[in-house]
Amino acid sequence: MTDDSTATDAMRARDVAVGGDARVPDPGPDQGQPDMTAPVPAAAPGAASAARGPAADGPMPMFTRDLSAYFGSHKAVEDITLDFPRNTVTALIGPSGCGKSTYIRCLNRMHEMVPRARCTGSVYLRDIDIYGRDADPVAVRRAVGMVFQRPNPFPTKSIADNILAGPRFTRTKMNKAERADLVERTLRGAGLWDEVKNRLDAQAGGLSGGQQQRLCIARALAEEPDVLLMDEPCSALDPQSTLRIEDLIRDIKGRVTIVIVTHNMQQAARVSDFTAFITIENEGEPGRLIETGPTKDVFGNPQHERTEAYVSGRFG
Amino acid sequence: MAADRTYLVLAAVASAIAVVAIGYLLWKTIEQTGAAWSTFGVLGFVFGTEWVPTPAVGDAAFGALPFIYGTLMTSAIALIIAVPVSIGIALATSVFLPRRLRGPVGGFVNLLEAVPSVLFGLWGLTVLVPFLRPALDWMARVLGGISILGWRPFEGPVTAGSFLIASLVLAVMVIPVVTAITREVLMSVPREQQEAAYALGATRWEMVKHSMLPWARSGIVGASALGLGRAVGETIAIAMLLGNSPAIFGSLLGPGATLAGVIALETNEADGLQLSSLTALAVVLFVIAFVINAGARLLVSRSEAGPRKGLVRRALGGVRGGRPAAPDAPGPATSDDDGDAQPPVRARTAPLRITGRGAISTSRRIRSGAAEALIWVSVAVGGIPLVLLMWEMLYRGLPALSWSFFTELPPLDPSSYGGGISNALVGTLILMGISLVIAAPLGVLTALFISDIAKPTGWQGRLARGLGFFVDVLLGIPSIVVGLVVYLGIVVVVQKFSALAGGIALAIIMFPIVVRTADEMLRLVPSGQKEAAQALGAPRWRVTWAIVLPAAGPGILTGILFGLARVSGETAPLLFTSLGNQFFSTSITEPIAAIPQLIFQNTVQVQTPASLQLAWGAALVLVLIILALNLIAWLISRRARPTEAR
Repeated sequence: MTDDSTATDAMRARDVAVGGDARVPDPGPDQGQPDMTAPVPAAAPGAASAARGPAADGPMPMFTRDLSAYFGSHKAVEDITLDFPRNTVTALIGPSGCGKSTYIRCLNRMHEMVPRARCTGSVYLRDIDIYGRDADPVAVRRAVGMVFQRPNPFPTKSIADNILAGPRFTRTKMNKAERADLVERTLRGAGLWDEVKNRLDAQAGGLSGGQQQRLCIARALAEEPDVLLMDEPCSALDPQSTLRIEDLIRDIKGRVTIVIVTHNMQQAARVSDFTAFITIENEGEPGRLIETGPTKDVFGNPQHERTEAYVSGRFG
Repeated sequence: MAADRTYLVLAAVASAIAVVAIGYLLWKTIEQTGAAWSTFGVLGFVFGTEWVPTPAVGDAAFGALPFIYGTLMTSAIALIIAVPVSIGIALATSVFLPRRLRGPVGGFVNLLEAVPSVLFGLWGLTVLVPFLRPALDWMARVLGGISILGWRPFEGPVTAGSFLIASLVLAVMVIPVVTAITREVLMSVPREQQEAAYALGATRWEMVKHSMLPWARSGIVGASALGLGRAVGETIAIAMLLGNSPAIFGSLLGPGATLAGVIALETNEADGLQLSSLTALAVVLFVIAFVINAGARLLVSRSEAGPRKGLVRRALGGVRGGRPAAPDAPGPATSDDDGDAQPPVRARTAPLRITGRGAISTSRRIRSGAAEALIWVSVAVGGIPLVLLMWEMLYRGLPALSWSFFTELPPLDPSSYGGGISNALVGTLILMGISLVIAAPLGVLTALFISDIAKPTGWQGRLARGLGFFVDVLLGIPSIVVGLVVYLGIVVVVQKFSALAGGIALAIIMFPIVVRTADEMLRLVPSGQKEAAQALGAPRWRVTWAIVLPAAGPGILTGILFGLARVSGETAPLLFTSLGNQFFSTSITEPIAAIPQLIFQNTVQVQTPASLQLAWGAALVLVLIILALNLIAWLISRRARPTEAR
């Protein structure tokens, strides 16, 4: 999974882009990644999607280099270098408090919203360092969606308005039919359409916990993010709802790169293609990446003792 | 157990004393209104438009409508100004200011809630009125012709006291109240709700608009209503700034009168039908304030439980139509639907732009920027008058201060400089002492009864619930009404103004404050601790003495100090209870001077450069006393909270 040549290529490409003029939105295909900078007019969302394969090959849509995260002077996570290959599911596992949630919150710049929190190192989205001087955290969050532990739909907004919240922020121009289409498409995608199609105008607060979480996933997907971060998305749900969310993850992973934090190792084994094990080795130390690889290897043939102890349930 | 029985009876009796005493005073008050109702009829009085106490010919006429109009008009204008500004300041101090500044700025606004109303009146009269005069004259010239259904709101001539001036000052006074509660409501919006918006790529303003405001809406409405309750009961500043000439739909640049104001200014010289009518005005004022406060509390307490649909139902949720597609909207978008295998979830179709200016569209930048700018404007609009007021107080008050200022009496000749406020300073301390001695023990015992000893069922439960309601009602009574109640129930009965009557009036204001805070603190003591002590065989009173009071004590003390700070600045209830005294007196059966009352007198009744200088000096001393009390209270509450005992 650690395809170094791809990573360095991407980094080099990014250096060129920044060194030249990062504000130019279309560096052009000569950078070697034509798919990621395809010049689609901003005013025509959806116009060109038919022409582009949903799972085009390309560089890592996201990777981190030496990412460390702090709360004030306390270092919560240290030097994590990880790649998230395109349209796969990567599970982050590790004991409570090892910093996996902190790490995932660095990937869409949510970590810095916590008072006195900061991070060092870099996070690349395609070829752009999202912590670069020129990067805008608001725009980053649009490209990197997030689903939280506890479902958090806007309770007073209707189900449909929840889906449309993202496009409304970005003031995407849509007519009535396009809006209805987006709502139906995303709700279908999230497996929620049949349950709510007759009450799209009802307040989202009235849905069950599992439905709310699927609505949150749909809401994030409506922005067509490159990467979807899921921070223990099932920890507040019953087993039935958990299975539905897992089905949903399998459904959508062909079209979006997913990073999921989970406490549930069966879940990690069931839904992920790659697994990264993070842990704190001694009291007071930051969380570090111990092992990463294809899920079947990490669970079936772990290289590190710590990993083996954790996945076999002897520790953590 | 006998000791437990004694404890229960003691607490119940203390609460009963408070209820019976205040009930007696209220009854004497209601009794007094009889003549007004029977002469004019209830509707005739409430909707009577004439207020002529001493007519040249014919009978005196008393009608409440001009005062109801004046009260509602000043409050409405004040609220129209104060609410948006308060929301702006609350947003700034909960979201937009750098984190380090939010607490201090929010605390400063909270502190302004404690600035006594007489100080706003002094400032309005001596600073704001002359400063705004040219602007008001200009308004009268330019807008004078405007007529709304025959009402000319900006017609000249401009008078010194006017609706606009009074409402402006009232707005400045209400801003801290509305801001403090709105800020609390905004800060109670769960983190997850804020993160939901941020994670979707919202700017700060978009997060506020889509996530915080919908959640906090009914709380903000409630905060505004509480501000309205405060505005409606406000007496002294308005009495100083409105001109006190009853008028309905007169010019906003001209004078008017409010319910509280006319009670404050006419009660001392009134008797017979006029006194009865003034008392009836107090009842009308009480009813208005009660309805507003009850509604407000309902809204605030509801909003703490989470979001509700606001008062104004949203017209339409869901997929809204309306705006037609923009001309350059893509026609080919529909071609997406051609393919049957169209995936329900699509990969990104728009180019990825997360850097540079293009990352967020210009229109979004402008909208968010404009909203933030408006918030900063409201901070300036709300903050500048408050800062100016503080500045003026230091600038004019400091030169007046000297040793003799604290040791000498005010000069008998109002035009001569020098002298001091020794009588008022001692008087204020004595009045505070009396109200402390009455309100603190009764208040704490009542709170203990309500939330520590009373069983939830039977007569104890009924009494506790009744007391809770009674305290809420007391909290909403305008202070001028309290003054009138004590005047009718004590001063008129014994035929004498006295420090004791003033102290009792202040105690009636302080009592519910003490009960409420003590009650809240007692509830914070974990029930597990009490049960643990009882399980060890401790009698009930011992649990209270050894567990509950040590844990809740600092909080209760804080409540008492806050109550004391609040009453130390009160003017209205003293006007016809302790009356004031030119000379030094420490007797509680004689009229006594007080700082707020001295400021009022020197500003309104005397008003010479020398008396104003004395007033500014006195104002500074008063604010320092209040600040000191608040500071001590804050330090105590910081050092020990009952939750620490967990």
